[in-house]
Amino acid sequence: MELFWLMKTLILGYGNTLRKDDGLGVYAALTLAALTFPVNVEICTYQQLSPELSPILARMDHAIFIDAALASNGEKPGTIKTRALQPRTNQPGSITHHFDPETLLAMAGTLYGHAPQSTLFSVTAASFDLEEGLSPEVTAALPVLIESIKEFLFRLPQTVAT
Amino acid sequence: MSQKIMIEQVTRIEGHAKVSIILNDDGAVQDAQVHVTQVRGFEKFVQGRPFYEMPSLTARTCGICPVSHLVASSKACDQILAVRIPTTAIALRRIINLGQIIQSHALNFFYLSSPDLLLGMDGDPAKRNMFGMLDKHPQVVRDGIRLRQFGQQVIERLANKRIHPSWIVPGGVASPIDATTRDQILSEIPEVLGIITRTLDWYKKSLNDYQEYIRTFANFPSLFMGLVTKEGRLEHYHGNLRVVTARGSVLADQLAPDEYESFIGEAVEPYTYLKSPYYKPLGYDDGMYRVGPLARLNVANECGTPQADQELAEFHCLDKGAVLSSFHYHYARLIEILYGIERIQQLLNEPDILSDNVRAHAEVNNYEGIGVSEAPRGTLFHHYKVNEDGIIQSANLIIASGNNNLAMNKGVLQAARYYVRPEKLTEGMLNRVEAVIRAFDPCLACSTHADGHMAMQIEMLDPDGKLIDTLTRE
Repeated sequence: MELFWLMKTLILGYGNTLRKDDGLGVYAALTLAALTFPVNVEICTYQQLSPELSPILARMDHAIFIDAALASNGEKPGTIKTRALQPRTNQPGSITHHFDPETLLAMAGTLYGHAPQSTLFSVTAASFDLEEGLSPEVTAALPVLIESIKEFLFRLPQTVAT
Repeated sequence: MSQKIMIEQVTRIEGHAKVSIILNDDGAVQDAQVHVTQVRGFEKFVQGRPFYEMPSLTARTCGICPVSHLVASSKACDQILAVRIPTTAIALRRIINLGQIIQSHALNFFYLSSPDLLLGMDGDPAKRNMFGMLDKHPQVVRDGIRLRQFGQQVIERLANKRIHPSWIVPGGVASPIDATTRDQILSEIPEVLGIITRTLDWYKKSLNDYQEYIRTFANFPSLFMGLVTKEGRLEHYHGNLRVVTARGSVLADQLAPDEYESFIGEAVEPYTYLKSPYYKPLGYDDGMYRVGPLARLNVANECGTPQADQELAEFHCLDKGAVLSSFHYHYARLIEILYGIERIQQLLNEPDILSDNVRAHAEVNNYEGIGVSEAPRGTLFHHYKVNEDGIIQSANLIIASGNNNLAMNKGVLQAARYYVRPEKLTEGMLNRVEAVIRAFDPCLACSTHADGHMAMQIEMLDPDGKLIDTLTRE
């Protein structure tokens, strides 16, 4: 008899809700958490990424990171981008209190033997000012982001044969 | 000609600091000053707020140890209410305070300081960090992550939030814990005890490798201050203050924290925003004292938990009197982690720990409240005065790191005299000076990090104040 086990997915929204659009990841994760997902999907929020996340990531098959992004190349605020993440192989530019997803994936792989397949969903921010709430541009992008993540999530393989 | 060397963002202290090293006419190091360049201003902007907001407001003083501020602030508010706190609430506050201490000490030892200890003070600064330890020392990194995670989980399980929880309130705590929470934490105790025991074994065997730093890192006579129980045991929540001399003798004992103004003076120096507290009876020059894990172990007769007591006895044998080298803050942190884990186990096994009676309610009954507790970095004072409506009229905070300001400055001078070669500053010298500050684990940031990175700058001045050389990390 062939056995199947559910693949585990972690959705991780992070950012500072006191810094305007930096809170996008948190708001998105909270919005997703209000929906119904299979039991193999975990959703959590963090103000910033820290090394303690690496053992949690190591237990996952997939990870979806949600973050706000600085505008680059003339992108308009509210632009949604998706990027596959790989574990970092070179030294990070800075390690103080904040770790980037690639560094955490490298730590998960090196320290705990497994780094999940990971994807970053980012939304270009309009403002990182000291203020609660999202800018109109990012607010408008939020429902589109949620739909994109849901579609992506349901395309992921949910089970694997042992 | 002045020179500036840019080093990538690898600093490992909490906040922004600048160090000036002043040379005499012969080119030798004459003085050194640590400049803390951030303004906090909490005492000012809380004026006019209701006292019951103080725990949440002042917790924002720090993103590393908000629980410590919640504890000290709530204790000050307890006095304003003039209520008797339920014993279960006190036990729960003790547990969360110890969770805070464990996670903060693990952060300093494993994340910030162990790269120096394991990769060397002269190692490549680009790799001298936690990521750089992954290949050669993965077990140490795993242990650090697990210990910090344990401390954070204690906080999160009690208060439902890892950072800036609002569970500790005037009069007690907001809610009791259930058996599941208790049993979850208890089930993890054997694992984390194993980790800290393993770490202490490794660290003690390595001490011989660090003799030079033990000798030169803020190793000088000073007073030491910390809370103790009536029996002179290690204490982090209640108790009274004890001051010991460099010889290890008790200079003052069972000082009432409420009367701190009678024995602690707060001097202001023009070169730093950090105040310079001192022990008043000996005056500004001789009243320099140290607080934090090293001081707490120096003032305590015993810990009150089995394994930590054994470690403390061994620790006390390091010197004839008090243990003087600030390098031993690292060792003391490990012992306090051990103590914290054991003590949490003791407290969770108390029969009333699941009681629903965790909060006393009252209106304003006193117009003044003083709360004192031991934060990871040392003794923390919150002092409020309110009007009849409970509105804050004045507030004075002595932050744990500030207590060490005078000693930290003296320690930097000692290291500068030993390591600085005036003809040329080197990165290794910068790192050693920084490592002295790091040993104290100061939380200089206390309010905000301008951009999330900690910068440090060292300036070398000639006797006329002319800048000779600068090293900057941004």
